Amino acid sequence: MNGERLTLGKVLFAVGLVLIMLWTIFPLYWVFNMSIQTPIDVISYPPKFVFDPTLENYSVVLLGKSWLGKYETVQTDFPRYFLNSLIVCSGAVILSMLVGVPAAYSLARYNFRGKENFAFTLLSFRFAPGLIVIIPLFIIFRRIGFYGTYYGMIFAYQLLTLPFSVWLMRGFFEDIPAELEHAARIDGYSWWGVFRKIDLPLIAPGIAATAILSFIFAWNEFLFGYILSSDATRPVTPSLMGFISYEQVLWGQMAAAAIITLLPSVILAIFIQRYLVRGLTFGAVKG
Amino acid sequence: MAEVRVEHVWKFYQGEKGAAQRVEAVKDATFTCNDKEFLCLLGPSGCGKTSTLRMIAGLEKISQGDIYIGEKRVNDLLPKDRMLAMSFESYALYPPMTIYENIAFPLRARNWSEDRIRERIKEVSELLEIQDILSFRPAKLSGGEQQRVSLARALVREDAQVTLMDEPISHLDAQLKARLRIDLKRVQREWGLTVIYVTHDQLEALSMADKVVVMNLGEIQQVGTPEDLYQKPANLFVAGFIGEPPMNFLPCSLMKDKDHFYLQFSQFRFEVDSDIAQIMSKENNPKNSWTLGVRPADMIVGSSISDGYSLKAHVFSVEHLGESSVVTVDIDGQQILIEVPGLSSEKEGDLTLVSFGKEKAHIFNALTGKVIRK
Repeated sequence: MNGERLTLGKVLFAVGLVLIMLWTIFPLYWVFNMSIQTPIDVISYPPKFVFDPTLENYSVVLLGKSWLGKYETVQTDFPRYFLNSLIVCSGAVILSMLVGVPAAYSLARYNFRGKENFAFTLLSFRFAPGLIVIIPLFIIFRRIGFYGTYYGMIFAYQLLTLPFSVWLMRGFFEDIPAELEHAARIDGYSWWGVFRKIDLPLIAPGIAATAILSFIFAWNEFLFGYILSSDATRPVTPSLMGFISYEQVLWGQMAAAAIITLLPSVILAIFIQRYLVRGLTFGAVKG
Repeated sequence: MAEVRVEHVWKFYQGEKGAAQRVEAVKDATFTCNDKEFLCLLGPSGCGKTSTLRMIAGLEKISQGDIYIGEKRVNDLLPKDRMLAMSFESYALYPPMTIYENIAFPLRARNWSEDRIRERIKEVSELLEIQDILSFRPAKLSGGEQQRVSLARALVREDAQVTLMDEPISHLDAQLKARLRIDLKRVQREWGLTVIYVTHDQLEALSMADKVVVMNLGEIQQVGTPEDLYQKPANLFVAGFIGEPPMNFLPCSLMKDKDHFYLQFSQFRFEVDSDIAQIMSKENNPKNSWTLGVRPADMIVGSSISDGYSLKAHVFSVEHLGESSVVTVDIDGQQILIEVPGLSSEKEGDLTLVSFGKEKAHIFNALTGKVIRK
């Protein structure tokens, strides 16, 4: 009896999981479907689940040529935007780590005047919707010549990743018992030696997890990229808008570009998944 | 090796909001740990013993006063320049490193050659019997093993002038504790180490230390050998803290009958020599309240004693602890513990006689806590 009930429970659990999976996966499936359909198939109604797949959308998006065959396209320089995203997001993550690791360490280890206020102010950057700051930021960027530059974009993206990084890593540092550092200092190491030999190896998974999450956040950012970039520095997310032309929306190519845009986040998440979970539960398992 | 001198050292922390409240963790501590001496800082939690140790280690700033290691004033030296070794209550082993790497860590800081490190670790690990676990990581070890590794890392330092230990064996079970107490004392003697050892466990202090510094509420209560502390406690705190079960305290008043002085407790009278009474009269004690202290082991139950006192009392409870028993009696609401060897034949509720020799009684000023002694 007991065993049966357990089996039934297991079945229901599996069914529930499948439903949630379908719910989550379906939009992705739909976008992928669109990316391998011709324009006719994309707009056909009722929607087609069986069709002749085509890679034309991908080749158009990646090669960045105007399509000369059966249907029109707009010219987009997608690989360039992809590279822009890589530069801006990596820059923002590197900057967040360079500033964030020492900031998180000092918030975790030292007491100084206004410490909690400082930490909270930093976090409060995340409370305000980007829309509130984007117009002033745009005007300031125009004035000081940051508009449309890589370093300007990196600076703006860092506003998103730094507070998050500092708060996450502060927790990781707090989880390292101070006595480990004390022991190492008595063992004969300077502050830097202790940080390098004791703290860094312990916190490396945490830093990796934080950097990856920051990167994904930055990669998915739309608003800052849309408003603050020029055509030369445009990241991928706003570039997807380029597939909306006067006459029509180029659904197929937009979907192909969206799938390509998704890839870095997904690949990072898959490869570093175990690392990520360990990093995020770094403190939780100890308590 | 070197001696450590702590001279009028204070530690205060500023209060949370503003400077209104100043918390004094250590007040005017002065003591010397001689070369090759085993010194224990003993006291209840929060008494300032760990703060004192951390100031010697350089992990905490000295608010006032001086600390000397050897002839050198170390107030402004970084921990790494004080040439100390330390073992922590939490062991503080470095989790990503193997045990071997952990023990080698302080030697690497001194740029020892790998051959020399290997030899030294072999020596120390044999002493502490951890040769078999050198390749493990700390998380795999039991508490006792972690403890010994932590000690090994402190002992591996040949150049350490002083070895500091902060409650190193307090988390171990009783059997391991007993074994490590013996091991520690043996190593300290054999290698001629200068050790400053913090503990709240009087048994550890009394069994290992050459000299004990008893602290309470940030103040040093008494500095002395374990025998001194047990036989000649300087005040009520030390008398009550050292010894298990703790000393019995009887509240008394000083009375005079013709030429004789005596202390009155309930209907009992305890004689007081006139020269002691002389000293007592000079004490600050306007309410005439004194405390008579007698150790449970210094009392007998069920019979009287020559040249001593006998009090009638009801037996309140009897605990059999194997090789000894603790009899609790009640005299006018005051409970008195008596430790007797073997099994006690007393029965609860019986009327019995409790006796102790005159010379076993300690007299304290109940107001200041100070002992009254010739």
